[in-house]
Amino acid sequence: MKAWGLVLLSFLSLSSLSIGENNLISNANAAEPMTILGIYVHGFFLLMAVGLPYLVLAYEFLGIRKRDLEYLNAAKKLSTVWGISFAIGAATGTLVEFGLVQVWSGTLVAIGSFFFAPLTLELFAFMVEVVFVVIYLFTWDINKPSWFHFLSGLVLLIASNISAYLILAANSFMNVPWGTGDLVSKILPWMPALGPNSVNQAALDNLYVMLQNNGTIALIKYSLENNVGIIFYNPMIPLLNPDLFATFIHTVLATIIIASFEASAFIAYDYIKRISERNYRFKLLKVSYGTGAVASILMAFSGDFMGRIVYQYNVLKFIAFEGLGNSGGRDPIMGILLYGNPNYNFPGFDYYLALASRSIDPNVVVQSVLAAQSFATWGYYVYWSMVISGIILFIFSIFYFAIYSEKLQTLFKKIFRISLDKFVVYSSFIAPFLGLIAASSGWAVREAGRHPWVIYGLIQYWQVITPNTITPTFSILIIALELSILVLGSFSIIYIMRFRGYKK
Amino acid sequence: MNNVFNAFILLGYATIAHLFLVNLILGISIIIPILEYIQIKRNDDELKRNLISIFKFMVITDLFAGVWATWLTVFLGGFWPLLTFYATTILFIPITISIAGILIALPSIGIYWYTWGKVSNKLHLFIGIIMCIGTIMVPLGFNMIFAFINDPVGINQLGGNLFAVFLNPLYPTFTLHRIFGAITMVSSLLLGIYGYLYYKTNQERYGSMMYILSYIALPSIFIESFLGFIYAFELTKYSPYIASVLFGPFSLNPAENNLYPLFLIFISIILIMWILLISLIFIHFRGKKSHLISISLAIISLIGIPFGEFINDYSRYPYFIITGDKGIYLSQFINNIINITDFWVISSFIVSIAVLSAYLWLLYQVIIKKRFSH
Repeated sequence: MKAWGLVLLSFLSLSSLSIGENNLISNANAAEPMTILGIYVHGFFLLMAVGLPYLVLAYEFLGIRKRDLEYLNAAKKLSTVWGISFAIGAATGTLVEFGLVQVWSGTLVAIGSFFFAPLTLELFAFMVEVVFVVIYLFTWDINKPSWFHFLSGLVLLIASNISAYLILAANSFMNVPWGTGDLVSKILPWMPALGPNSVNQAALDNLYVMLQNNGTIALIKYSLENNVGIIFYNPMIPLLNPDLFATFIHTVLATIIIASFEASAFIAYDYIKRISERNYRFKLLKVSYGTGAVASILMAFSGDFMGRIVYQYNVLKFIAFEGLGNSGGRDPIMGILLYGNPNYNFPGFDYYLALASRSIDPNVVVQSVLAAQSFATWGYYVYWSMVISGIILFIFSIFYFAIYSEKLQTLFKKIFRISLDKFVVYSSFIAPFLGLIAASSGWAVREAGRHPWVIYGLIQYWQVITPNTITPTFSILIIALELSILVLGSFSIIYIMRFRGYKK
Repeated sequence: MNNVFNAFILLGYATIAHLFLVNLILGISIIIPILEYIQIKRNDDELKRNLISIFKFMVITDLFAGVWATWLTVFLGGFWPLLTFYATTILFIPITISIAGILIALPSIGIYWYTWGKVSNKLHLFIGIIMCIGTIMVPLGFNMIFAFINDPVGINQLGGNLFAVFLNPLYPTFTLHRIFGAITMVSSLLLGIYGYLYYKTNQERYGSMMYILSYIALPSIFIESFLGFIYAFELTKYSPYIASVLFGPFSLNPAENNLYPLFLIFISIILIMWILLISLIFIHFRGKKSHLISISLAIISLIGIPFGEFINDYSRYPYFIITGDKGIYLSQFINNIINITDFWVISSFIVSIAVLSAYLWLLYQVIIKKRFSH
């Protein structure tokens, strides 16, 4: 009966009163390392699952078009790596998923509202992926090249990209809660309006206060039905987030760069080891390196787009990673890019701190600025390691295209005293590491730069942590499991690429 | 449409589909190391061929079971956030055990496949045992959820002793009942399939599989039936509402939501399974064959678990958590912070049915048509 439920609910709320804000903060801090590692391990395999199909389908397309068994063979072998990455990505996805609902159990509020449409639709895309991954992997016959098979791979590629778009919709909402109108600007006064207002502001204010006072216990202490009510009217609106468009393009290009250059490294290794098969290896290398090069060049434009979005919606993060400090100042490159004025004077943290009095909760403004200042101490270096890695990859990519011109090849050799072919082979060993540095640094800046917010301006990280204590033993156990998966999964991929990858 | 009822039906449907697939995986994961041990002892290459076929079937099933697992998690979070919060917070330890099990099982399945014939027999068997342990850990944790919603022991331990949930009296019997149910389902299914193949091809490798599987299926169905009886008895004591719904006139307080006729059908399915199993074993040990009994056993073995799951889940309606002879209504757990329109419910049904159809089509291609010999 309802009475039974109310008795249980009230009993739970009594038992939770001892949790306390400080305990929740230390609990959240204890949970962070395993969560961060889990997301990175998941991301490592997922970027192969999203990025590799572009290369696999490029090989298959060339193979069918030119009736070339060598391309088809490479496509088939590489698709095994794709399949394994997909499987490990799905397994680690389960880990991340449970991490969210179990360790960061308060995110269930977001899953049940803002993320409802993205996650449910993602499920549909994931189901299509699973069906087509089985069809694509199990129907390979390189002796009978088929456009139908290629088409099944294309459907899989589209499904995995839609899946990525929808998952990133949730992440983008965490950075830019699109569809909340001017609600966030009431809390963080410098924020612009975040799209059309699709929220019940009274209900969301209520939720904000509940979480602020009680953490996740709010979910139990109050019945959501009676105390919050409908908080989000249009669940589709997070799919139109401008941050999402930028993030999606940026992320997919990153996955293509890393997957293509990782494949290039293995091909280059075989190129050096097997002298008799060099023409064949180089033919494959040109495609894999070329795919990575195209993506690296496009990445420069996508990076610019991303930067503008960050400046517009996460300005504290921007100040931190650009090293503008408390008082702000000039930043000629950014001044030109954003305002066409190298002398533009960017405000610093002090300016935003002074806006606290305009907030409905001045304390959180102070907390946000302090967190950004703390992030700036290391975020600046991480950000620049991403930028520098990206610039080197951009240069590599420009050099690569000289391979299609004999004059440029000669010029290259004169300047650098190494043939362009050799440059492509040897730079293949550096490029994947640069890609990984850029991607992991970029993601670190994106996520850590939002601290202490889980959903920017609305929900803080400690407000969604489980009320259960995260013990060091538990953390160590999970971290050990995550590392085991990383090692075993990487070994499997290396094993397949190295020993089964490119046999002629 | 009534959103609470629709969401309940959708959740039940996804749960049944998922459990059907994971029971296949669980049963195969337990049987595989046993069969491999026998194969190594006998140095039987024919048995190895059979083992590889069974394992390939398991890999495809595992992929689809994974989809349903993701479906369930997202669905629970999206449609039933408060219930999910209860489960993940109070059942923190059991769910952690399950996740650890998944993380052990999935890579070990891959390693087991790729190391076949490439490492020593003993090492390969060892990997199989690790895979088996990982797979068993999954129901050890997740079955606590079912025990909990039938008898919420430990609900007052939030932020306290998280191990208190293990004192649930329904948990040990129910978990063992489920594990032996999976072994019974898979061994009977395989016995039926190999009986049919033996009848069709007359190949001895299928006949010898039938001998081995008989020694697994018969003790397993006996234990499973015994545990089922004990569990039914425990329900009358610890979850009387469910007992009254299922046992109808034989319960102390018959409920309005009477599933007694369906429960009788379930008992009949188990009895038919017993009869078919004993009949097939009996005629096989006498050197005879029957394709009709073989096919019937294979089909009925696939029906038992989903049907049992259906009446187990539906018996809770209109409650979600049973508290003695009453319960907490479903409506108290449904997502009320957004408006879930019919679009989400209907599209979920359509997509999931399409995927289930694709799974069956792929199995048909792999097992019957022998395509995709990757």
